[in-house]
Amino acid sequence: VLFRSHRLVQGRGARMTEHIFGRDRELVMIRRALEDTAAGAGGCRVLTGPGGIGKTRLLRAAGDLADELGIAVAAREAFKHDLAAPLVTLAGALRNCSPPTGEFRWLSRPDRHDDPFLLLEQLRASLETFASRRPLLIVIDDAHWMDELSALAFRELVPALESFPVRWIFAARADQSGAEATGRDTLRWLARRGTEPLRLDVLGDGAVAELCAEAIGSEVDNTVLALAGGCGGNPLRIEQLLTALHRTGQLVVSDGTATVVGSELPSSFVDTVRDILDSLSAGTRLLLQAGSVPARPFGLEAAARLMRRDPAELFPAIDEATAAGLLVDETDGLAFAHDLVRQAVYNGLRRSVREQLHRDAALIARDEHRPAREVAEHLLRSGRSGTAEAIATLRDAAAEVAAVAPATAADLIMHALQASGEHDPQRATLTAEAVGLLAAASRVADARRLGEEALRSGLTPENEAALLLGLAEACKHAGQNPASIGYADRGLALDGLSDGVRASLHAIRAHALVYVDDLAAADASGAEADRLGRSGREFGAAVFGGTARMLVAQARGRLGVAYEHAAAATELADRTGGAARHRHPRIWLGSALTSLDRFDEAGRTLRAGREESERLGANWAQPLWHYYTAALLAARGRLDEAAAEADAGVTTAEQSTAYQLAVPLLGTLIRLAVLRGDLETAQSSLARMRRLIATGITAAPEDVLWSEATLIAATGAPDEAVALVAGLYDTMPARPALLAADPAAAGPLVTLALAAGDRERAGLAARAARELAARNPGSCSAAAAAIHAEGLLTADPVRLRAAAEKFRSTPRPLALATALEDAAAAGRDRADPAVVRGWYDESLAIVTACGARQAQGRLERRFGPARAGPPAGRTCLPQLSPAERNVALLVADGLTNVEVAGRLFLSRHTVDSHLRKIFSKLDINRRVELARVVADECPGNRLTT
Amino acid sequence: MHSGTGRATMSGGGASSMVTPLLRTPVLVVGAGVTGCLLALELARHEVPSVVLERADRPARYPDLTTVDGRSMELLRRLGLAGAVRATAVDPAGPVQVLWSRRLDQAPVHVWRLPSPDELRRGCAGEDPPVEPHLLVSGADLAAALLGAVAAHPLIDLRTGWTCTDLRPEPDGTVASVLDAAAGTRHLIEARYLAGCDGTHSTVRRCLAVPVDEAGRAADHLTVTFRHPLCPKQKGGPPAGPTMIIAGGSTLSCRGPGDVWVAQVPLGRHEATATDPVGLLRDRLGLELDAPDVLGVTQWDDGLGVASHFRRGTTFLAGQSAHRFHPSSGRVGTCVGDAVDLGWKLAAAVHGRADPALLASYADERRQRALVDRELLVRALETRRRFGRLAAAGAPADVLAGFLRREPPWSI
Repeated sequence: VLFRSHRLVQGRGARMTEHIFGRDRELVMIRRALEDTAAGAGGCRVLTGPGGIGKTRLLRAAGDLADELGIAVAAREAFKHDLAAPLVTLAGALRNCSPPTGEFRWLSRPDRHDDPFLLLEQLRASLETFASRRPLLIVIDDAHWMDELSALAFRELVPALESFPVRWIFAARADQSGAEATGRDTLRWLARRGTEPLRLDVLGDGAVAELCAEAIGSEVDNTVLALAGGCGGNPLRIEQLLTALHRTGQLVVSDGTATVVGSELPSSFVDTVRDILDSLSAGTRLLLQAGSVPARPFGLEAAARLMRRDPAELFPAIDEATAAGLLVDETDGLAFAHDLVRQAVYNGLRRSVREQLHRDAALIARDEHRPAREVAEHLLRSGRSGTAEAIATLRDAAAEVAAVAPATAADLIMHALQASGEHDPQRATLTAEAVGLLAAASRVADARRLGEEALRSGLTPENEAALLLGLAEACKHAGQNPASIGYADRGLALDGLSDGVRASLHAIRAHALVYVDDLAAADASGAEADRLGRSGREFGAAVFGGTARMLVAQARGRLGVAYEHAAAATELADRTGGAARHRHPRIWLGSALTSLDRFDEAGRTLRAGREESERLGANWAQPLWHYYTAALLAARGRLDEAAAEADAGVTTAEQSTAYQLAVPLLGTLIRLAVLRGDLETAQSSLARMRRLIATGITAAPEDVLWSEATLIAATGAPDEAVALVAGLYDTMPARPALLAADPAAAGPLVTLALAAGDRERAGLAARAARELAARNPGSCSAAAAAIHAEGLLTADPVRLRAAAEKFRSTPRPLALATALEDAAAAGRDRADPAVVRGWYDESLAIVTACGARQAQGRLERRFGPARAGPPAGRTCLPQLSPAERNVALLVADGLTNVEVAGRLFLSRHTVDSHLRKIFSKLDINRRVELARVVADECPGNRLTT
Repeated sequence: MHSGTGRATMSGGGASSMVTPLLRTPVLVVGAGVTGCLLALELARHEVPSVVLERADRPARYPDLTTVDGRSMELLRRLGLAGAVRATAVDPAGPVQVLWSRRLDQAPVHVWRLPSPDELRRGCAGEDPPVEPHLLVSGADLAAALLGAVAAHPLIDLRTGWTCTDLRPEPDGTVASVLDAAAGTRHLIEARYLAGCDGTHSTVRRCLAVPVDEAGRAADHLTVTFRHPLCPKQKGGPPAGPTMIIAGGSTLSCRGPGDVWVAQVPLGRHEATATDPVGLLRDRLGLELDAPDVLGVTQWDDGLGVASHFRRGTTFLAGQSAHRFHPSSGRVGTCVGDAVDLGWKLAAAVHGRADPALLASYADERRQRALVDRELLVRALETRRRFGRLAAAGAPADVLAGFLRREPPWSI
């Protein structure tokens, strides 16, 4: 049985119905989608509607249909306790895959990873492998109850598996409720990026009539229809009403027609269920009442314990309850026909009975090794005596899942807080824990509200500092830098703190200060964090402080110093391990190496760092790796790959709701899109970035304003562009962060200011470049950029030519191309035309190879098309970039995305991004189609690099 | 196919029919609630016999508080029923208190005190006393009193436990299919005129395929009947007399000390199927009940539907089958008016004294009346909703009281 079958099972004279009425449109849509999937297409659909409207039955029909079409089915009906059990929603579905498969057996193994990142990676690999053999339908019913880790998995896997024959169908209630926020957010997210949610509406009159006739098993007359008409077109309510009428003798079938007779017609769902209950024997009633308490499918043993009976005595009751259509017997135990029925039974329990049942249910849940939250839930409902035990259980539960599912852990602690009295001595500790967890779950507003509340209530300095640190981190992660600094300052003002705590506060403060541009203070705090962290053995804080100092040095244009800080932090993290390692200093070391033109080392560092963070499961770091890898690839002139990296970075940031990291990545995407001549993508990325900024996220001006200015300049409005970044020019001599990250930006900065007629700002940029070169005598790029800027200011072809020659010895091809282009432009009427033409040809060749189509177009407009160069080797699929072509060939070869990622040393998100591009360029949406295209066009099927 | 046990067996109904018409009557009344009973009694007053079918063979389970206005009482007096109805009145000496509260556990911000029937009968402020003052009754008691009168009337053939299942229009009347539940037999009744007084979920209306026009977007409500010793925690403890409490968006009423309470509570927009009345009363009203305290639950919507037609040929709709104001309105005036109006007009028709336009006037006038009453009800409910919204928005007590003082006190 794939689903809990929602059958209307009646006693004598009535029969069960599995038919679906009034859903022809929906069934057609589902059939069409499944046929597509049988033919290789993926996709996702969310089904919504109120409880009892018939979602489950429709899903069941989808399952049957899939089975007919040879599609494997993995289904789960989530329920409330899923919330507390990381990954249970998805893992439960896959474990129940029909036909059975060994592919997902590892999910049941006790030694499976509990690190989310690794879990997701393995899940994805399994799904890819499975789906490349057989199409798969994954169905999640009552998806609003999905657990947090499953939610994360859906956000990653649904887009990632788009190219595989994997069809997702989620069904969820349409109503709002607090506890299931994670599930609802995810469903909204899925609905936004896919097709409109399919809303199941109430049944029309015709369907109601058919349903009634089918349920009763005879014709029905107007008395039945008139009464059923009062059920709001809700099939569950109608079926329960008919069952109640039947069981209370108020439904008479004579001459093949059913008529409602009788005096006490139930007029609400609650009364309907009560009438059915009252029509049952006492033992059956007790079974249903006891069974309503666990709020999950329950076993015979558990029911017997709750009822304090011998299991064997229960069989008649089970039979009667099943015959009455209230219970169904399924693989994982006995379950109510519908959760609304269970709720109605449960809510009808006398309080004393309910509390006693919860006390017993807590013991049973504990014996059955249920998640601690489930145990705590029972304890909390078992009356006053259970509260203290419940709080302890909740704290244990939170600790258990904090690393994997911080939002769940936060909810648990919040639960404990609610349960604890106003004057509970544990409150302060609980609050500090909750704030930290809320912060980790990106629920910063909640964290701040709760934290402020606790601060007002008076705490010991230790607790207060811990709380303030939590708040400072929360705000920092959310990009709310001034608030973060405020909390850190308040913490540092407290007396008697340990070095470790002070170090941690300084480290956060230092990073936040970098973003509000107080570099001196940031450096001082970073140094304090480093010193106190080492002395107080809080090495994570020392490492984090060191990386802040790296950012300060880089913003000041001291590339060597930046490298030294990053290298020292990395060395400390490697040596001390533990928390320090989780700060991932290689992110910043990679960046420092890129600034210094040490690209190979930078690449190795970033790859090693990324692998380490994947091993350690640092989801938060993923967007950062993508950001700096994109920067490195861009510097190397591999623009298509850089864009795929940035795109993947945005995806990972959004998936983990780390929106503050999506902003700089979108900035990168904008600049790359401009370079690649794709203004449409640039505009849409800009719109996305603006939406995020409107929510209060702040980011460095180099990422936000400079990106926007680049786009504006590309649309032919240099004045506007310069006006937008005037501040950036004005502060550049003091804060050459843009040039430090990318020395070659000096040329475009000067060109832009000159185009806007702003010689003064052009001069400022040139001065900043000059000073950067002077401060970093070892940097060939900085030296070249300074000459380049100077040459532009003086329109001096000789200088520009010299800049180009200097860039030639750096690994920055696009910088070389720009200098050559500028030299050619300046030397057009002054130098030997043949020589100028040579510069132009070389520049054009470089930008063409790099995919810098904006520059390519500009050069061709200025100097005419390229002279016939050496015949380019005929490559297949010319519309794809080299990186895309490699991915396409491997996918066509039957490799899964995870395998492609491994083969090409890319992150799997980057492969997804490439594949999306490939599909869109080739206008296809299935891997089989790609294989066909490749077979047709690339007979040799060779990788190009 | 059934050999009937009825009194007036007759032949007819066509050779193809398997069921022999069993009864013939000038007027068949479907439903013996307030409307159906009054209609039969009004007909009988004009010496027109009728058959009345009532599906239930027991009175309603739970009482609810209903106002019988003065005009209705006058109509009842014409039928000689005023005394019997007055005997069911709730505390005729006690004034009705309408307490408007922000929340149930807070002192009311405003109290309307409606004079008691006794006070009105004595006359107040120099005005002449009304012929019949209004009465507060339990809807179930009222229906039972009327049903008693119907059962006792020689011209009325009351059939309890009989259900009307279908209608067939004929050139000079209507043939109704009915089921005698106790005997399990089906019969046909041929009637010159038929009146559907069978309530909100009217079978007659469905048979006629008459649609219902709603006043606006309907919101789901729950009516919960419950026992509670000290409800509400208002100042002064339990109410002394008939009381209605309007707290936030909900309405509570009780007939007096020791009585059950009836709460009308709006459901949230997305709660299509309520399963937890105890939780609902706790969340909305701060009332702590235990499950057994809840005696009954009814789900309804406040769409205030009015049937698009009150008449099809020789079949008529009257009472709640024609207009669904219950339980929002808490009054029976519109139903009483329907019954009496239809009663004397049908009687005239049966006696052959009626112009065809007279019967047509029932549908026109009473539908118009229903629309007017609906408009008044919409305004009264809007007052409650606005009060609820103001209270929820945290308006201070004096603002709330000022708002209510500007509203006419009858708009409960």
